[in-house]
Amino acid sequence: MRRYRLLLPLVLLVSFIYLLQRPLRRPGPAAGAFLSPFTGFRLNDVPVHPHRQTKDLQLSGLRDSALVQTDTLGIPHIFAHNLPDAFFVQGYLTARERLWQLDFSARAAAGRLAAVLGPKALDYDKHQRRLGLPAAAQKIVARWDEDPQLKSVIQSYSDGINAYILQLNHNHRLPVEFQLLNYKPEPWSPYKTALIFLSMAKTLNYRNHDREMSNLLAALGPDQVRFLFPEFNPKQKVIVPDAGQWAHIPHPLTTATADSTRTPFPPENHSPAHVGSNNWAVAGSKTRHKKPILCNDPHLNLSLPSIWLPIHLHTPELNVMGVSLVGLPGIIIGFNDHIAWGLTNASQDVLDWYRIHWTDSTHTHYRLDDKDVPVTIRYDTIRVRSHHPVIIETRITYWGPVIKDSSDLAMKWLSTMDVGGDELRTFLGLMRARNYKDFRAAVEHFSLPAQNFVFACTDGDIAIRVQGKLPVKNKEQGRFVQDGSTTRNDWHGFIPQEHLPELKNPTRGFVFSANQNPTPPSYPYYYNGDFSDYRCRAIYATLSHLNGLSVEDMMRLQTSSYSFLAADALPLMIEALDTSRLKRGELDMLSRLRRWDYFYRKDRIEPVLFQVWFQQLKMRTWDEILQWEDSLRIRLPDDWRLIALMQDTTHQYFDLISTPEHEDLSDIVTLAFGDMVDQLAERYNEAHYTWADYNKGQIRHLLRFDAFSRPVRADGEAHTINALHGHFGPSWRMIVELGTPVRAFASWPGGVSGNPASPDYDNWVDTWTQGRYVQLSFPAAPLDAAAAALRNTETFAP
Amino acid sequence: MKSLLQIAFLAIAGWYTRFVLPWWGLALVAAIGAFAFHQRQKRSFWLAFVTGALLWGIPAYQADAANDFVLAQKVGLLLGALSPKSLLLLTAATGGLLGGLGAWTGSAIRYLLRR
Repeated sequence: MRRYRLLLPLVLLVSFIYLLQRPLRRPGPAAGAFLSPFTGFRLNDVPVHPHRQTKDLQLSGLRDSALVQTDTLGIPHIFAHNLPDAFFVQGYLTARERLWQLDFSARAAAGRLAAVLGPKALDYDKHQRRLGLPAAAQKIVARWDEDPQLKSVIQSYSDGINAYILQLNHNHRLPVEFQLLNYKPEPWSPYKTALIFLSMAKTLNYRNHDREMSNLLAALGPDQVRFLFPEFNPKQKVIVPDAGQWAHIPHPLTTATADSTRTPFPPENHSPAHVGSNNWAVAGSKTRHKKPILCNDPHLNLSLPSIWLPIHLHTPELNVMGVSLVGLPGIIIGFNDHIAWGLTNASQDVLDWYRIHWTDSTHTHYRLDDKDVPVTIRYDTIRVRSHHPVIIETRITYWGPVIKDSSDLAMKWLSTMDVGGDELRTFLGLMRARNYKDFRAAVEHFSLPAQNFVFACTDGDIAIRVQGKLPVKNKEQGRFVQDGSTTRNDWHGFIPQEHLPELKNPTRGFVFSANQNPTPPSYPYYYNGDFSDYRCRAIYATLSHLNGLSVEDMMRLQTSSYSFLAADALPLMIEALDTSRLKRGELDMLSRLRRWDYFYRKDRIEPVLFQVWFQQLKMRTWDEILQWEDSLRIRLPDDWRLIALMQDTTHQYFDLISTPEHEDLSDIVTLAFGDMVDQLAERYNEAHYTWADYNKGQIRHLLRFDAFSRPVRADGEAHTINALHGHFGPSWRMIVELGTPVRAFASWPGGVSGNPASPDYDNWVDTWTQGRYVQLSFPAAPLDAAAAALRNTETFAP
Repeated sequence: MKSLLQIAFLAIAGWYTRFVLPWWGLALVAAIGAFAFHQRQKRSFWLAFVTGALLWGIPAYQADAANDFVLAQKVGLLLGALSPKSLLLLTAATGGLLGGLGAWTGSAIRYLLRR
């Protein structure tokens, strides 16, 4: 009996501990450990109203002392005595604010997520390994090792991150995501910086449509493909117009590449990305204060923690501010006392697929130039949480890796071709640049992902340059899957630096880009890609018509939600609509659309009506292509092509293949209007259903936790300058006036901190959503610790 | 007197070992305390339950309140629509049960050895 009396509490205690040793969610921490105020999530609690602090800290690894002042927006201003120390402190602060993001992003790039997320991440990891990102990152590190200056910068940054991780081991304050996923940070290294760089390259230069286009070529024939998918939209405003500058360059390759593959490619799930960007620079001749103004807003996945980390670096040799990419030293988009620079993606296609002719059933040899050539097989071990490791083989051909098991397609992709790695030299050069000559020298080191670099200088110069390694291709090479049995189908080197498109101080007084075609068809080199048609027109229309432009005008332009697509399409749609078939409620919708000013405002219903109507019009028109949707990888013609086709109201594509009757544009537009009514009838009667509800703007946490994400209601759509589209959109808006002193304004959908508990996690989001800006504090010397613009001052001693 | 000693021991030893022992360390401390300052088992349980609940609850409340319950709100949502208040109660109850069950076990061992 006495035994029982002891047994009962003991059993209860052990069961209780056992129960709480299990995770609240999987994978996850022990519930007890997570709830404990001494080991759990509350270690990340930070005061919402912090006191102003002045601290002295020891930071071993520094060469000299350094000062960090945090302004009221949370932005750190680093004052160091030498460059390595500046990057060391940048690394340290990046880790302090964003340690989990650093670790997770590097893991994702390396294909090592399954080790922390379990089997659900295995396919993703496998894909990253097959692409060869880890192998390519190692090659980049080897290049850095040969360049003492780069090596010092990257190593200092890495040492700074590790200095923070080392401190963390003592105070146990793991970011909450580490706690939730129950794993610990690994040391940083230059290799991980290389991975982050390649991951960014993948975001920007991975798009390709070879397989879709090959399917369409087989299904529709070459004439229809060329009719439906012209490579140049004449309404587009190119980045660099033809002013005879290319007349001396012979057209190097005009022979067309014949497509030779006919086996269809099945459909695959992939969600479209809406990455893109705008940048422009206006010369003093067009501005109110007679000083150049430079603007940039890169559109990326809107994430929390934000991909960007704003920072100010000051050393005896430089004074520069802007945004850094978490994981990369230095500043990617920014300004100094003399120049400002910005980026948009150049969008050329640098990923081509080749059909491999295997000569044996086990796929160890393939045909190349009439010889049997062996593949190289690379083995990767992928660790999977709570499971046995998985070993995968990747077959590597002359062209590149075979991505899918037992596939006969190999991928040639610029990012893993051992051509990149010097890009950080570009940013180091830009950070120190004082004029156009410095800018030009700096950007030449940039290989990938090709970018449109915009530039403005206090001396009055403005310029834009398409920079990167861009392959020399035959006509139409890379539009379709190519025959991989002959090296004749390989790229023919890269376009020489001096032939890359560039525009400096044009008489019109501005330069700009918005992922459109960089050049008109008269440019001597063939290229294809995924170019954007409408934002460039919106920017051009404003900049070419207005003079005396102010910073406020630039803010209005950067946040404009005017849609040239809607302005092009809607009048044609309304004209073609057979109103006699509409009912009363439908006529009300129509009259709203007639009065619409083509602005995608968050609180309006008209953008929703147009969006759905136009979408249905596309579905009805392209039924000839969509009929294969379930069996083939396909793509639809660009929106501008449909709008152009609407001039010919009886075109065969407006005929529905499913009916014996012969439909024309009017029938299709009217049917699509009916589809729209069906889809929206219920919603339309809800008093408050608007564009923001339809667009579902969201800044998503990297783990897609709703609790750590932020829904946003803001103006804009993918084709408007303010390109908010679901969880894609302007990830950093910057406007710099190149006067003395330089004045900069910014807004961004995030915050400096990666800690969901911190007010700095998303303290900029409201400003961004409302289209407002804050002026950045850019002092040339440390401020007094009591200055109103400051929150904290920390002195780091070695 | 013994009650006060048991409470003081648990509060002080529990506090100073909070970063040293694993999260369930409080149960161990409570067991030792209850063993040393012998009480009736029921009394021992409740004394340690209240002490443990306060030992976990007060710092948890302080951390949450300084943070304006921002993180508690988010974590609660993540764990399935738990309000910050219920998350706090859950925390205090966990501390309480660790203390209480630990102390009860300690008392029971002492009782067993005495007979």
